[in-house]
Amino acid sequence: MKNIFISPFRFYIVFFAVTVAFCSLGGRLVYLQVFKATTFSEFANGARKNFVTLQARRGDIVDRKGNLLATTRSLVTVGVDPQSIKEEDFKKFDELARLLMIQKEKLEQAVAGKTHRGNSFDGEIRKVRWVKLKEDVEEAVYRKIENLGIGAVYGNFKHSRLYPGNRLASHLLGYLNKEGVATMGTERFADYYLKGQDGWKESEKDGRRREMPQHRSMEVSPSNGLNVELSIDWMIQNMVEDELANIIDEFNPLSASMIVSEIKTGNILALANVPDFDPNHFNKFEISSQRNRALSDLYEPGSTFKIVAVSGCMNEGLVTPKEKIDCSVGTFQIGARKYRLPSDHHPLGKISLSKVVQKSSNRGAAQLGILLGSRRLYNYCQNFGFGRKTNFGIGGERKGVLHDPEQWDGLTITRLPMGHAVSTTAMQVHSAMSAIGNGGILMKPKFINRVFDRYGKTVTTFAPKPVRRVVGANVATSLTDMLVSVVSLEGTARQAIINGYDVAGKTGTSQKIVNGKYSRNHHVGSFVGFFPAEDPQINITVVVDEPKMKRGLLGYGGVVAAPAFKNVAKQIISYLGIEPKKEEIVAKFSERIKAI
Amino acid sequence: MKKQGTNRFIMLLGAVALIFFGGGALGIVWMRMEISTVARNCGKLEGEMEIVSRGVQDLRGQRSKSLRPSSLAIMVNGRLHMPVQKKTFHVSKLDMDSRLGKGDYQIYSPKGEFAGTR
Repeated sequence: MKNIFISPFRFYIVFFAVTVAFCSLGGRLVYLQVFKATTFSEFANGARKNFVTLQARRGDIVDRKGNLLATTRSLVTVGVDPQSIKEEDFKKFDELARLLMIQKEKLEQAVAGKTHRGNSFDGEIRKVRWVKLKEDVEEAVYRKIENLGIGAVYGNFKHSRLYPGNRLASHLLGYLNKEGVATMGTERFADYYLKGQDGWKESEKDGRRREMPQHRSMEVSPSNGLNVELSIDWMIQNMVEDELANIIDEFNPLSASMIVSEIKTGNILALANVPDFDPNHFNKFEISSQRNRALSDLYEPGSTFKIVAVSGCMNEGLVTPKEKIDCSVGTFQIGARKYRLPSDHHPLGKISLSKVVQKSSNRGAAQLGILLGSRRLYNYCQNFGFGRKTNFGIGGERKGVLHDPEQWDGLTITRLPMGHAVSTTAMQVHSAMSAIGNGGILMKPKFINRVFDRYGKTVTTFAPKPVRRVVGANVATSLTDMLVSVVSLEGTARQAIINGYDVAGKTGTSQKIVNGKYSRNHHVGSFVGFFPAEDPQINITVVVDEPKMKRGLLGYGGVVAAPAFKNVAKQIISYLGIEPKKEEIVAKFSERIKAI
Repeated sequence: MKKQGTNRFIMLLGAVALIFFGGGALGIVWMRMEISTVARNCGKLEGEMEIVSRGVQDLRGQRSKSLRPSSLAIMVNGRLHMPVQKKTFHVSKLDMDSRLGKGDYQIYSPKGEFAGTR
């Protein structure tokens, strides 16, 4: 066919040009879609795909009444993209700096550096896309920052732990470090229950890096952590911490610890040490203040340890409460062996076993130790829990020092019964005394009641756990009676007397070893006692390390620890509604009737 | 005549196919747009729910902070303390039952938000 409009030559030229153009386009398409397909699809997927980890919310820690002790909240890390900053944004820097509580210069500095050199291997110049301005910004503040309308300033949400009580029960609660790792306390012990399981979602993002929910392909919801209920009561914990603050004010000791527990269950109602710390700002405190001294610090228990030898001898039927012990002698002979006895503060003469406990006679205790014999004494010490961990579970617990009888020197048999030549933790002494109050059964101290879900439904319970029977129930009752006489006008713990209640307790005062020998100026004063003696419910231990006393006074347990016991015990009696002895109730009512 | 009828039929078929497939395609596009809009709204609501839940958590923390015993004691300038023994009277369970009726006395005891949930 002959074309009447254009020449065949032109026609072929145009046809050829169009064909070549289409062929080159096709070739390019084949190159991109076939040869470079993998590379470009990977690049596109990378740029488009949005994989987000959905953080599980860590569970709460509450006290035994459900009061919140630790919870999780969201905070924002605010930063700026220097590439996206606009000229008009600079006018808003004053307000932004005020909201973030930082210097305006810092903002200007942050947006000034738009590039940085890469690592030492490539040295490539790279664009700066994110400069952190401030961490831990509260969400309400962040919303105000958003309202400023500075597109380049944005934040990343993160979970942060909040301890509403600040210092309250800090050693028991522990904390999460900056990386979110549970470092100590309940946080670490119950991390398995608290942490939960992170989820994730896969979707696509648009050019402004916003998620496009319509392209969400996969989603696994996070499983939030469970909540943990402790056995502590924040009212009692607060009473204890207030009292420790009073001890610090009055005696300025190196440290002090206090433990309150239920006798029959071993539930810890309060545990506090000074110095302490605020887990919300843990990095601002010395590392030594984070030590749970009630479990990690060792001290010679002194006379509080006498309960071991006394109960041991009674349990073996070697002595009775009324049996006389000669505390006037300086030596004690059994067979051919003669033992040198420690001295007493005052000459006591020949006194009954009950008086030995009441007056805290070192000589009497030493003779009981000799009667019991090294192996049996050692076994009783172990059965009471000394030289072993209580397996409390937190606090870097130490097992203390209790040497095997084969390693004892000639003096140990007379010094161990009075609480020398042995190192214990406050928790061990506390547990041992609880065993006496509990009819001779040693309970495992515990601080967690249960683990529960978001609706309050129990997932796991932590039941009270008896460890072993240490002494017979009748022995425990007899010793309790003796310990009641300690907290009387004739005893060493006059300052622990509570009107209307029989308190059973024992004071302890031990000299500290300084430069290899016992110091006359450095003491650890302690008191451990329970009440009401006829039906023991609450056990309280107070340990004060190196109280600074007025000239001429010594830091006796009866002076530095017993009053603290009394103050806390009186408040607990009111709080828990523990009834006084029956005759006291009758007397009080008759007084009231008379007044009417 | 017959050829003209066939052509008409083919054209009609073509038109119907065009309407059917074209309408279907447009319908699919419209549905996808609707799905996108709903998904976007859901995403937005999810975000808002997250904000509210974070707010609730924050408030729980603040509430607990305000209610801790030391904060309350400061608010009343140290006048808050346990009742002294003289002013404490112990009431028996029998008395409670006779005056309040047999029931759960838990409601009279201080408690946190998880108290009583087991």
